[in-house]
Amino acid sequence: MDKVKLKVIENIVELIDVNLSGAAGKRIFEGLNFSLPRGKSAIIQGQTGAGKTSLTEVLIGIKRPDSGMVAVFGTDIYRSRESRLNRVRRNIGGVGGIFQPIAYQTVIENLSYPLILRGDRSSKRKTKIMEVLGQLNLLHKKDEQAFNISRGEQILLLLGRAIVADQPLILIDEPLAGLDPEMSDIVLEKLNRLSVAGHSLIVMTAGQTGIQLTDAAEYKMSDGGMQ
Amino acid sequence: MIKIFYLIGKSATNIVARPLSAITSFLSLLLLLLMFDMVWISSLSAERYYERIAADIDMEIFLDDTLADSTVSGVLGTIVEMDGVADARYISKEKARDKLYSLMGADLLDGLEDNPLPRSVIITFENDYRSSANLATLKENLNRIDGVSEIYYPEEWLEKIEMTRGLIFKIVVFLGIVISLAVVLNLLHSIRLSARSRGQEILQHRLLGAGKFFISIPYILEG
Repeated sequence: MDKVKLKVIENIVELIDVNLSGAAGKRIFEGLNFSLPRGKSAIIQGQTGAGKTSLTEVLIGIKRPDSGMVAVFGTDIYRSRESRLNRVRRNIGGVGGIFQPIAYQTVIENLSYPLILRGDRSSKRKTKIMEVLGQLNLLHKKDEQAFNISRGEQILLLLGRAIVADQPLILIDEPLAGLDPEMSDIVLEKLNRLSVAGHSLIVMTAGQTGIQLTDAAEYKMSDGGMQ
Repeated sequence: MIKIFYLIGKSATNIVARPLSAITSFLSLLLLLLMFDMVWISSLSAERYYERIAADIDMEIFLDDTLADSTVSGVLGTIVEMDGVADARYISKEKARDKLYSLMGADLLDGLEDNPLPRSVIITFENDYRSSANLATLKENLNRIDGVSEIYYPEEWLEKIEMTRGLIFKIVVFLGIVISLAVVLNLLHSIRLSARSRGQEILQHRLLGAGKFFISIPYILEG
């Protein structure tokens, strides 16, 4: 028991024997085990319906598994109080899938929210946001509403949201889907930078993606498990 | 403090961002509250009208002809002492004749040897005593006094206006409850619609670690 506890704290993400059923009773996860050490990244490949998005939802705490343990930052998120879960979520960034920019808010407003939750002052928020927008080459779009910017820029915006809040874990669902090669290269370069900077990225991707991250372990999801 | 400023700002922004929806909600609430005010004012007017009518109600006690004049003052004293009686005024046979004369414009009793009009006492009531139940009790007590032959007051009429007053009160309470419910439901509906139309935003806020309370406050303030 003590060993398990120690292991949970060492790993930023730990899934132990997780079972999950879909709406029609179809098994999505069957005894799924997965762990990600702090500072390491993972690329998870799987066909459509393999459970990649479900894994994201399980990790962020909005899809309760039938059984098993899901620990993020050492917190068993489905056995924790809501306030504790919210604190965990503030350390998780998200790109794609269920994570989307708020469409009618401006780029700056989208980036502000995690900092407001943290209680940062307006001047501090502005400085930090401008710095990140500069890194992402999005300064010229700062006052645009999110629905007015391109898909690639939206991906960068979501990455920016994780960077301003300095979130150590970032869940990324199909980051290159619908992007042209030039934008794909930009996004990949940003992802690699984040990985090198010590963020743990979990990238979900279907089939051949060409996603390569420095020092990232590769997994394949199929038949309710992960190899 | 930063979060409080954000929540207030967010509520204001939400209202400004959807002016038509805000104006529609505001007007529908205004209409409901106006209706409630109208009903309330009507009930107040009805109550004042009832009070004015009730203030004019008095009771006339006719004395038996066999009662000696010397004992009249004793009877008057007993009446004045009774619960709810504010004042008692004695009307002698002569005064009754004068009253009839001023009412009819001619002395109808001219030529008669005796004045057939009875002596009477007119009583007025304390303000909070003018109910049909109280006056019925008073009538019963007055009937027990020796020398009292007959008592008159607008009994049926008083019961009718009391019934009408009760009915108006029930209608006002019913309408008040209905309108209050409508106001609350309207508010809740506005908040729900507002929250539903921003489902994606709420999901993103949840995913970023905002608590339910923090997420719901702008919608409640907006409502």
